[in-house]
Amino acid sequence: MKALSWRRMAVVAALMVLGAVLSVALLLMPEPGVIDHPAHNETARRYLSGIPRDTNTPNIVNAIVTDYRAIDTLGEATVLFVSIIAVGTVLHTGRRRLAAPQRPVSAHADRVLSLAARLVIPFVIVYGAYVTVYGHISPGGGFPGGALLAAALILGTLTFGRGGIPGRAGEGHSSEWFESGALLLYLTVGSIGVWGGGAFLSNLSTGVPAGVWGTVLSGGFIPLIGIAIGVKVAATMVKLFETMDAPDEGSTE
Amino acid sequence: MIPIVSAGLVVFLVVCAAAIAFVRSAIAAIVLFAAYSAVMSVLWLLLNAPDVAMTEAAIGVGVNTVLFVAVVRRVGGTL
Repeated sequence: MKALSWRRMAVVAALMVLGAVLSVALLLMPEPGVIDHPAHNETARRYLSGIPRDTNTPNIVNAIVTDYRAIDTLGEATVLFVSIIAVGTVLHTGRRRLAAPQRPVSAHADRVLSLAARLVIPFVIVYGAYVTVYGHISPGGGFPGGALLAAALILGTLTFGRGGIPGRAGEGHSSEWFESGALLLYLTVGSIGVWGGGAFLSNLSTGVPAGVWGTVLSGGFIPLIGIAIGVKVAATMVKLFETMDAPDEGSTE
Repeated sequence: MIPIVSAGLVVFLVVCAAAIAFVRSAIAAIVLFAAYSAVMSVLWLLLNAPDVAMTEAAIGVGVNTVLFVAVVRRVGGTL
């Protein structure tokens, strides 16, 4: 008991030191919004002035994510891919287990819920597709758009049960196909730059048509990258949910 | 007006974060976390970051909540 209390006191002391250090660091931070803030450096100016010329899109955040830093975004897509592999490996829901009689989470979907879901899901899907496709000319992009699509699909699964949505079979592997297909689309789009004589994922500089400013078909391959990210995120979320939610063999539910 | 709203929302965030640490029930913590994300996304909007606000609302409120509930069900925790 003595040792435990010593350990507890050490933890408290370490936390107090950490809190003191963080408080001092917070006080030393430059005031947000001031004109000579260190964030207002040549990088920000370069992006603000260069993005309309380099990418032909008005959404600067999206242009950085899908053009200048497209290789980082590819890394994020790979992280999603690896997370699926990890969850699938740990939970190991093979075909055999999924074939076991399952009681969907949602067998008890009542009238209000199913009516509301019927009403909401189409709009959410359309809005998710809009956010994904228009990501480079309005706020949004592949990540929120994909999450919206996934939310609609998961809501459908929760309400109507697995296989309750027409065209989505009980133990379908469509999310896996979409998952891999989106990553392949990303890589294919990225290699356009290589064929054009530039670096991997280089966009307008290798002659991809820039399109008309402010329309969907602008910014070179940025819309394609946005669609790839959206599909990827949606497929990852749906697959994660389905893997987590699949009943396992010993389940008594 | 906007600074008062922002201050109120920030206070709510702090209270929410503390409550997440202290509540006993898993479902209460998950709902509080969703509320935290929703308020945070409003704050992102007030900070002129609509992209981040949309992502926070879609992923923080929607997908995170669903995944947390699925995990708690999966590990046999009490909701």
